Amino acid sequence: MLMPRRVKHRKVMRGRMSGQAKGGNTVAFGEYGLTTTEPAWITSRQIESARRAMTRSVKRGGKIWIRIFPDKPVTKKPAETRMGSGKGAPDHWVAVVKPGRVLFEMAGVSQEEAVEAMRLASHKLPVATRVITKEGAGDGHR
Amino acid sequence: MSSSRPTLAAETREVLGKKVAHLRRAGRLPAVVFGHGKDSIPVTVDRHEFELLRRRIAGSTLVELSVDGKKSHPVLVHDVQISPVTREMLHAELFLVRMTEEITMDIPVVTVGEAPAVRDHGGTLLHAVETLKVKALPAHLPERFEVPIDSLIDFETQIHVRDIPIPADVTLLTDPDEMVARVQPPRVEIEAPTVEAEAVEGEAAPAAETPAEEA
Repeated sequence: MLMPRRVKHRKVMRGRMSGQAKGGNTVAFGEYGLTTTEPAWITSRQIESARRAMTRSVKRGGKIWIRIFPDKPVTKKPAETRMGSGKGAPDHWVAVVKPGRVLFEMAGVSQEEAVEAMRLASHKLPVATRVITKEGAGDGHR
Repeated sequence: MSSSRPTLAAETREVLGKKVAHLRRAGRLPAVVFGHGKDSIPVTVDRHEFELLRRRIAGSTLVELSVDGKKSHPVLVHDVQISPVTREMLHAELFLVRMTEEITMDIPVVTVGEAPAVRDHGGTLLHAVETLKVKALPAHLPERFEVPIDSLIDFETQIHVRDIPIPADVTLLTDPDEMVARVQPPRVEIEAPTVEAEAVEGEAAPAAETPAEEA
């Protein structure tokens, strides 16, 4: 699963997810992209699960890019612990995504295969998604 | 020649800033006309008409723009802002060109045909360079460069920028040695365990993070 090798701070505050994705909102490497239409924290497990779903769907051929990276640590207190006594221990890693962010990209497969692979991947994610195509080749909504 | 160019009608607009949202709701698309040595003019165009036009033309296609029914001038659709969430057009930039002044532009490279390495060996076509930067008079700008990929017979063969035929009235600014396309060997299922191995190594990382926190 994806995680940072080294971080500056082990625990961080939760933050806000207002607004839309300012960067990473266009298909940059492949031909098709899976974007989110909702803000969310996407865990490294969810990213890996979605990647596997896409990889298995296209079987062979094609190339997949993961456009998000889970660099935010999420802490958790142990079960049956009283409140207080400081912040819990780091538990897992999440990527913060805002509406419009491209999560995955694909190339080297037909549009039908890409849409089906991304449909399977979207079931592993906690957000509503949309498949888009590279700018210039016509947008996915057309 | 100008009669064969697609046409677009625009109206000047007084509404600026966030108030243009109501123009969009009324089916108009805010746009701006600008050019070398000219003041920029805020305009609106019919969104549906512009959408149909945009599907037909390339970035280097000259369009005859008429503002408020006056004499038309050649423009290029320089950029179109698209909402990352709804994928609807938000704003268009129309670049007023001088027909005697050379302009620099990125022209898309389109592959033609099927690579034998993809068809016979199941590889993936990688399209490394998708645009070529060229300099030419507006009337001489090509819509696209077509690259036949029939020569990609194995995974080592590459197509470079120098292999693309460039018209004599167009100056190429991209490095001729850049790779345009090649075929990557097929991905095998062994890839998944590799990622797993990385994850196992990564598990140790949080423990080693504590000293790094002071940095």
